[in-house]
Amino acid sequence: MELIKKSILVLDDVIGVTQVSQLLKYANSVEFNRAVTVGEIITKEKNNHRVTKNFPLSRLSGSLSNVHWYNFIANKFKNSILTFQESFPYYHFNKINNMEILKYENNGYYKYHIDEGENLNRILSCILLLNNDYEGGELCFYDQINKKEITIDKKVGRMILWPSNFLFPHAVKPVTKGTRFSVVIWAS
Amino acid sequence: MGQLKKDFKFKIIKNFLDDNERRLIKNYCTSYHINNQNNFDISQNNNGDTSKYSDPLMESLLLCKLSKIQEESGLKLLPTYSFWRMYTKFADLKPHKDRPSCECSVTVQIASDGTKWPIKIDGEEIILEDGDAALYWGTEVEHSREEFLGDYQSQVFLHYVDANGPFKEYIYDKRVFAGIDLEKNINF
Repeated sequence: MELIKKSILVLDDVIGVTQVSQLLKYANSVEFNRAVTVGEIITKEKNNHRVTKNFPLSRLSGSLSNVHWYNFIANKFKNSILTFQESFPYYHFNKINNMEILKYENNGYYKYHIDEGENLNRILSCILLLNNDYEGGELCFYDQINKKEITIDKKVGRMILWPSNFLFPHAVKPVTKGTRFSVVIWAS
Repeated sequence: MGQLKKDFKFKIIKNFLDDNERRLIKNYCTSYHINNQNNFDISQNNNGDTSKYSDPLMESLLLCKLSKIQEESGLKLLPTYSFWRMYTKFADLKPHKDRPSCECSVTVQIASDGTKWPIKIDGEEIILEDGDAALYWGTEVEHSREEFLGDYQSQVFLHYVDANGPFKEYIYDKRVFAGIDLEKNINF
């Protein structure tokens, strides 16, 4: 039963080396906020489920550099969706809900969770890896059917797409050295 | 080539765009940029910034400014093509000379966030204000820009050739006329 593994699409070299390097430079120049979990928003209490910083990318941003990177990544994401739909034609893309640059510093992590939830209309999730000069920080999925963990190797410019639903709990393992940068996208 | 062409390597044209032209084109470029998820220049620009060859508005500007550029250059000119770009943070312009269609080139600063960003022409640094232009001989004079540290700067290049010079066959960049994409040249 390889359904879970086969439903996680891994695409390499989605963005050129030069543009990844420029995006990383941009990420290093902006101010990040502490990222929260949906649980924290609901309970209004901090938890230790996630130690991450985020920076929103949006085409409604007042910064045209921010808008550029949103649109540039959206273009790559939409192309990747076409590949995803070759295997899963019943997925119909509606819109990008959110896009963020994530920064995991030393000891940063995100415990197992799923992206879909009440009031969260997320159907497809995506991560774009921007660097690999850090230790730890692996993106892992838990295959609940086979009771095993699937680890995605770190590769610059690699894009990973998967359904946001309860079949795909995933985590980012603690970063033990360096800083991990990625872009995350949720779509419906 | 005309005699006057040898008199200077470049010249600054203050207020090349009047206020109405500048506002119109600024708003157009901003709107285009916000909506652009298809036209990214990854071959000549490190950020893959929003750019457009033969944009209808810029091609109109190319034609409208012909007499002004003839006056400034002292040459009878033929229009070749226009190209505009929304430069964003950390963009640069590597030192280069242009192709024959760019014999007489005009770089026009449409709008910016106010960050000074010198263009180096023939080794000399020039700072333009919004609405200003620099005229230079693109095929002969090396030009470049260091890394941009601001948020945005929209710029349009207007290109012409000497009507009596060696590149006169590059009129309209060898298209049937101005305002059409190269790849659509024979399919309209």
